[in-house]
Parts: sequence; C-alpha cells; structure tokens
Amino acid sequence: MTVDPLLRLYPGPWRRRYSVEVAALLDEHPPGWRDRLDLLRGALDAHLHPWTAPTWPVIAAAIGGIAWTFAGAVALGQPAPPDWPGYLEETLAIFLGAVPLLALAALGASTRLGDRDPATARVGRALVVLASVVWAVLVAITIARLGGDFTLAIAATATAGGILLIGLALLGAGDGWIGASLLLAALCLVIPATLAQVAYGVTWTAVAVVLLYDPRPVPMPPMVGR
Amino acid sequence: MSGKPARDDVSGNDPIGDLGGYTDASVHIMVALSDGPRHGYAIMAEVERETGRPMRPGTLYAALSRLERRGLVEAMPAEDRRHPYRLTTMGTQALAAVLDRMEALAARGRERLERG
Repeated sequence: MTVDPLLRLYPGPWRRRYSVEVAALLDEHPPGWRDRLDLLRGALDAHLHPWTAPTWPVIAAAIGGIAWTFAGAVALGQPAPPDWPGYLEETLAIFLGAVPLLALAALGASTRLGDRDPATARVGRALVVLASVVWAVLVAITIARLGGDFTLAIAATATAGGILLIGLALLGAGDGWIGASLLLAALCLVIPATLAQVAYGVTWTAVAVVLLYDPRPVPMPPMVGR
Repeated sequence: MSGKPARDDVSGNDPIGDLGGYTDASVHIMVALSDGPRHGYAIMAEVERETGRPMRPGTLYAALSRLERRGLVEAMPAEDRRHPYRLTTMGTQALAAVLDRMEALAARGRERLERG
C-alpha cells in the first residue's frame, strides 16, 4: 500500500484512524489537483481542530516567548540608539526567529476552541499569519540593511490585531487564562516601549506554561440527546 | 437539545452542533447515510449525485471525523481497508431535527413568496 505524501501532513491521531481507508480511496480513485488541494486544506483543518491537546503550541510559545524576553531584556539594558536600528541589529535576528514561532503559538492557542470556529478566530488566525509573514520579511530586510521603517510597526500592530481576535474568541469560549493572556500580549505589542517588548515575551512564556499544565480538552458543542 | 445554539450558526442546523465550515457537508453526509451504511467513496458519489457537486476527500473526512466524534455516525468493521459508516440513533434524531427545520424554513419561504 502506498500512502499519499499529503496524508503524512495530517496529525498522528487522525492518521492512525483514517489514513488506511483514505489511502484505499485514493488508490481506487487517483486524486486530481482539486482533491489534493482539498486534502491539504483538510490537513490544516485537522491541525487547527485537533482531537487531543497538541504539544507544538507549547514548544512554539516557550521558545518564542523566552527568545523575545531575552532580546527585549538586552535592548532594555542599552541606552537609546542614535539611529535605527543601530546596535539593536544584534537582537533583530532573535526577534526574526521569534516572530514565526509566536505566530505558531497564537495559532496553537486557537486550537483550544476545538471545533468551535467563530469568525473572530478565523479572521484572527488569517491576520496573525499574513501580518507575521510580512513582519518577518521586514525584519529580515532591516537586518540586511536594505531599509526597515515604520512599516515594521504596522506589521506588528496587524499581528497584535490577530492575536487580540483569537484572545477574544477564547474569552468568548470561556478560556479565561489564555484569552486574557493573548489580550495582554496584543496590548504589549502595540506599546512602543522596550519594557512592553519584554512583557510581550514574558506573557508568551506564561502562555506556554498554562498550555502545558492546563491542556484543555477539546470542547464538544452541545447536541441532540445530551 | 441542551444548551444554546452556537452563535455563529446561521444555517439553522444546530441540532448537529457547531461544525463551522463543515455544516453543509455534514448534513449531506448524514442524508447519504439515511437509507443505510456507505463507505467513504460511496458517500462521495451519493453526495455528488444528489447535489451535482463533487465532495472531495479532505472535506469528506473532516466532516466525517466531526460527526463520528459527536456520536452522530459510527464506523462499522472494515471491509477491504474501508469502513462503512452508518447513522447512530442520536444521528438519526439529529438529522430528523435538521430536516424539520429546513422544511419549516422552506414552508415559510414559499409562503412569503406567494404573499409577495
């Protein structure tokens, strides 16, 4: 039996349950490009609506949060640079690594919504991904001394908007700690002060701890007969 | 039904729970299973026959996994790597409730059209 590479993109529990029969279906009826795109979307959906609390958001939030706290603390100990980015370039590489990790952490936090998929969470996830990609590219451009200016702040603010929406969706679902932490993280991100950047990193580190010690079971919506 | 309908549910299909973007696909799957068990490909073929639109494998299994986790459909023992699926008692009740709502909506719509 050959397993379509796309099926390897699904989470482990999903593969153990469905991959054999999906592989049989695909063997019998080879997929076209639309089917492949649909399977890719299905894999993304399975990761965002997992059956059990995944570990990847904990890892992403912990590494990203600690890296951000460290870079922020280094910047905090320095006098204001005479020119942007000045010596802060030394920490930009750390920020560059932390941006995608914390975007993953935000997506991971949204998995606590389970199959609930409110519009706020959907928009928040899209905003976090798009804005973080732009933000990371702009930081890379700054490191390469090709520019970097106020557009960095716009990308960071858009990312904060996405984090805020995910936080609101979690609060709406009754996930108080993570929801409130994400609101705090969004607030820290838009405050133009180095101390706020340290707080942003600390907040994500705290999110990692909560995700680790309170792996909220995926909630089941109410239904007939219950 | 216990609990409030999900806030984002605009389709009136809350008897099967909040299935996000997979609500319509789930209802089509449940209708395809309403006259007996079918395996994945047979469900896809039946949905296409009923709606004129293909149901693709990623959508089928995203919806099936949600329905199975809610106890609305269940897998039967595998036949040649493929599990046939059938509606559970709860699934049959939920589908009946969804169809009642759709019927009521259709009746209201027709009535308004005739009045207008």
